[in-house]
Amino acid sequence: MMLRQFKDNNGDIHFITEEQTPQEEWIEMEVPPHPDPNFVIPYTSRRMREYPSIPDQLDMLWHMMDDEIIPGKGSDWYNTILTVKNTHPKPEE
Amino acid sequence: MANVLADTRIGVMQQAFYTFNTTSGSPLYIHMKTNIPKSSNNMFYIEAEGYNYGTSLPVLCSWTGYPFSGDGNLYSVSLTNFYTGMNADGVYFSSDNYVVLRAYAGGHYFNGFVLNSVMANPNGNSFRVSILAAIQSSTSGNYY
Repeated sequence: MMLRQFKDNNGDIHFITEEQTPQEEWIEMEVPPHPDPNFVIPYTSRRMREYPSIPDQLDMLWHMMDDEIIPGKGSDWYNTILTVKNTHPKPEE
Repeated sequence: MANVLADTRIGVMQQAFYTFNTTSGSPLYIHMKTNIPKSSNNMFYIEAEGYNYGTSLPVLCSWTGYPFSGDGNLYSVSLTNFYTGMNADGVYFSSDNYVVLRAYAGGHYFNGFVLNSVMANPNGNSFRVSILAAIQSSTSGNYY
């Protein structure tokens, strides 16, 4: 069962059940029965789908520090990651 | 009061005790006021599970917290986003002293999800969670 949707003067949308009473100034929204299959996903969401995972992004930054492309080599964060890497070395291929 | 589905209760877990379907892409925040009172000791785990067509991503995120009776504070809040179609964005007390969950997504065009809950503290095992009010709002702080 769908909740009824009412828009208030601020553009906020209130979701209420049949048992609840909307405020007088709220305007009930027409709810489209189906989403548009040609809906264009916002660029922010398209980017989010394609960004590497946060651990992978952080690893990229660590390697940039290690290569001294950016400052930070020898910092607490750099050394903490380095300790983990040394504890679990990458196997020789 | 606002439970939409006849929920399935298994032990201390409620599955799909609330279902939520947006149709408008904005505003970007969703606030859901629960019936969990402040100072109730009802330690909660509530998760949203579904699919947000507006971000074209699955939804699986959770809010946890412990509304401790001793000092009225909310402890141990954790927001976890497993699938990022919608993110758990915050937990706060409403002005009338209930726990409110806040969620955020870059768009909510046909965002559909259900809420599941686990009451983690034996003190609150018999508590049945429901949603008293819900709003899709531009308010990023406290709405209720």
